[in-house]
Amino acid sequence: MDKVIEIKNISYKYGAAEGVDVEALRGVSLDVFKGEFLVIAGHNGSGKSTLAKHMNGLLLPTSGEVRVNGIPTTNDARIFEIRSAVGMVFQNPDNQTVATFVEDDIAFGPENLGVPREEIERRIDEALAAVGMSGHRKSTPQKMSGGQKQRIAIAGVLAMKPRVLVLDESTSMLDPRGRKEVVETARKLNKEGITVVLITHNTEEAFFADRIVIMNEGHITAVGTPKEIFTDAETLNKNRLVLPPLLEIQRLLVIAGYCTGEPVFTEAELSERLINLL
Amino acid sequence: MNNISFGQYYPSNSFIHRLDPRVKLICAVIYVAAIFFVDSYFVYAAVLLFGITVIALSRVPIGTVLKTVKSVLFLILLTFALNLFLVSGDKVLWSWKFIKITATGLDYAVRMAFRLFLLITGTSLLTLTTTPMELTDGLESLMTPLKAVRFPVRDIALIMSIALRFIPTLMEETTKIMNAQKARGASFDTGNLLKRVKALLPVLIPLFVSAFRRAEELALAMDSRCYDATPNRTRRRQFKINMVDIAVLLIFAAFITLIILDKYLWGGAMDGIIYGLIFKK
Amino acid sequence: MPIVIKDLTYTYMRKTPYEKKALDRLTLTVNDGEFLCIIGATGSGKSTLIQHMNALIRVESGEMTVDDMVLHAKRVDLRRLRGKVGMVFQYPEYQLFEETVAKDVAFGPKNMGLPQEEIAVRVREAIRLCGLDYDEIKDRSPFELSGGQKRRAAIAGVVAMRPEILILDEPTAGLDPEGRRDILELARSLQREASPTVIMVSHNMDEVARHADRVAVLADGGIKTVLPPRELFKQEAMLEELGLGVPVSAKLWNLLKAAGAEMPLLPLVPEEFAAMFADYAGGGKGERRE
Repeated sequence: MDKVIEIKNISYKYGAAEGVDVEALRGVSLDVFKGEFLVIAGHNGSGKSTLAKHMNGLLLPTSGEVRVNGIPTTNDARIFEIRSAVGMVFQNPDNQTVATFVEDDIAFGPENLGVPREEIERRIDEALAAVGMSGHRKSTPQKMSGGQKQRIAIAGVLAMKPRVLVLDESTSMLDPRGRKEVVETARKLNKEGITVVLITHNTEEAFFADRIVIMNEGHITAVGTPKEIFTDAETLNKNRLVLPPLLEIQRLLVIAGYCTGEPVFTEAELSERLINLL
Repeated sequence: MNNISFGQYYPSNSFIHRLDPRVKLICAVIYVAAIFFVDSYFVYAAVLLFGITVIALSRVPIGTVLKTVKSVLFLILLTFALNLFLVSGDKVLWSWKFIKITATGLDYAVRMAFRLFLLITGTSLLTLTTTPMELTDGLESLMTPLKAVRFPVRDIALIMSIALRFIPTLMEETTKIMNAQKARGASFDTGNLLKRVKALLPVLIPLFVSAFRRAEELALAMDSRCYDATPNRTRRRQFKINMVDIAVLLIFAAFITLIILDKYLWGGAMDGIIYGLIFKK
Repeated sequence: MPIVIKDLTYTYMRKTPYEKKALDRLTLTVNDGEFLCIIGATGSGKSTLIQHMNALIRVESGEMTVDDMVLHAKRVDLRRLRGKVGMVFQYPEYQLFEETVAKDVAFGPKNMGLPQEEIAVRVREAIRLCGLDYDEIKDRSPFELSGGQKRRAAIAGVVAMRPEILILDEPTAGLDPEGRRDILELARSLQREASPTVIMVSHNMDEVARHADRVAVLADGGIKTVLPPRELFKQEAMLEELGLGVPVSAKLWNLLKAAGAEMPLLPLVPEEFAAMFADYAGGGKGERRE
């Protein structure tokens, strides 16, 4: 499979100037494959967000190397090529828009890249349609819900035509509805061919991932499919994460002697299975 | 929440809204300059009438315009009071111990206060009818010649647009923090000035901390979206001056010319003419 | 010390084009010693409602009493009220401002005009109640603490006022699973040891199901219903319509019921679901055999 991002044994230290010397990443290696939906899960402070910021050269590793489409992120001359290939959305929905109006905000990326004017207008429409916000071209994000604001932020990134979309804890400040909006948007974009890297501490969001990477103390401590990760409560707990309720129920039912076999990820499937047991 | 309306865009599709922002900016400058040339009450009345006409054409409710004055009412009153008590003159209207109000003082006070009032309403009409983005684009365009002397026109324009964009966010945040501290028993409207300023620290410190945190994340978001990637940044908005724009510019030019002419050449002849028109009959 | 609210109505930006009715003849009684959760979609009026409870918003129309204090009266002793009703806002760590944790926690008691010794006692007690080590943390800058510690320190600042009613607005927002569980445990322990009545606004139905004695559902500025969670979460369709959901256990219970298998009680948490299902399945099989 094609690797879009290659992370080779990177470490990241900060605070050396203040004499505190924190090692946020310790020898992390990870490849992101073209077209996959990758979730990086970890508790707050596990290093997951620091890792994300290495994926488009916002941070440079203290040692080791990160390559995007084969270009090392240390290559200053091509950094904008990297950043337009790996779009990134952040945590706080209020801190990512530069303009008062949606269309101006979405235009920011392509304007910076010198995309021709008519092309920008087309991209604004496409990006808004892709996140299900057509018709909000002239609105102001100020008055929108958190989920809508984050979708606008995603549109702003899509307008640069990236290959990878990194959501750096973009759901953590949202209510369940907003979280669902963002995750569903990401899934839809993934089906349309964009590689998605979702950073989160809400393990529910990893149900439909192709791969889950778990981080703790600056290390990758587990990698697996949802079926593998969500049948291993011990590993999750060791990494200060929890089984989502739907999986916790299945774990308890298995212990009680009901409900064997592979885990399921929707309530409907589980209830069907339970009905068959009665 | 009340003064949040200051400088906020009021959506409408009037022809004032649709004017080229550069034209509006120039007109605003002309208007402000003109006000400083005005001395006579009749010309003030004329300026007021002119202003009211523009407001009416913009279809922004007069109440919305007046609300912008509310947030600076203190400044206007202070100006009034300072002039009233500190400007000396011959004709004393009223006195008590060492306080004296003179006719000259009153005259100055009224005029200065009125001047400020016209200034605020006029300039707020600019921001009420022009989106912050148009405004910064307009400014950027007007300042383009400065690029020749390496003046960072584009950065300045972006800084302004971001500042405008974050005003409501920070206002909201201020209210939130104030409420949180009030819930802990803080009070912001009692005691003398020093006490009140001190009482604001529990609001200002968290506000600064938060502003820095926001700035940090915004910077990351801007870097991720390739800010400063190329010197040939696309300018999405292209301005086209049309006949209406030219007409408006000419009207404003005529307006200031008349005021200046009145003051220096005709020695206040307008006063005389208007006075004549009103009182001769 | 109950809160009694009758026909509370409140309009934002009155007489402007942005005028919006946030509360519309809202009636609600908060009982002594209960853990009441308030749920509702964004814009349903939750925040406006709780801000009325300690007079951050004054009653405009309707009636409201907290214990013996009449909030719709012209004059309200705000100092006394805010000592009775403690309010922890969303992301409370953003209100920290002092040089040291102890000083920050002392802000509330100081504003109440308490004597120095009393303040010291309360600060120590509040920090301990919030699960922090007083001696270790008192002289540290609140800005150096970890995320979870910051939030505890901020909550301590409210606890130090010894409120009888504690209002928590989304206390777990932005926290990871461990942090969420810790803060909810803190809320429970504060209810036992310091503030007998707790009102919590939350979006997380699994948390609501686990902790609430009763749940008040807000919609369009009014109370849609107030029910114990076991009853409320049977009404999945109504909650979905309001843009809310039900906890996973309740969802499964509803699905099973629709398929003809109605377990006698609605389970609120995974442990309950697993146990009840085992009972039901075991019992069911037994009966069929007879």
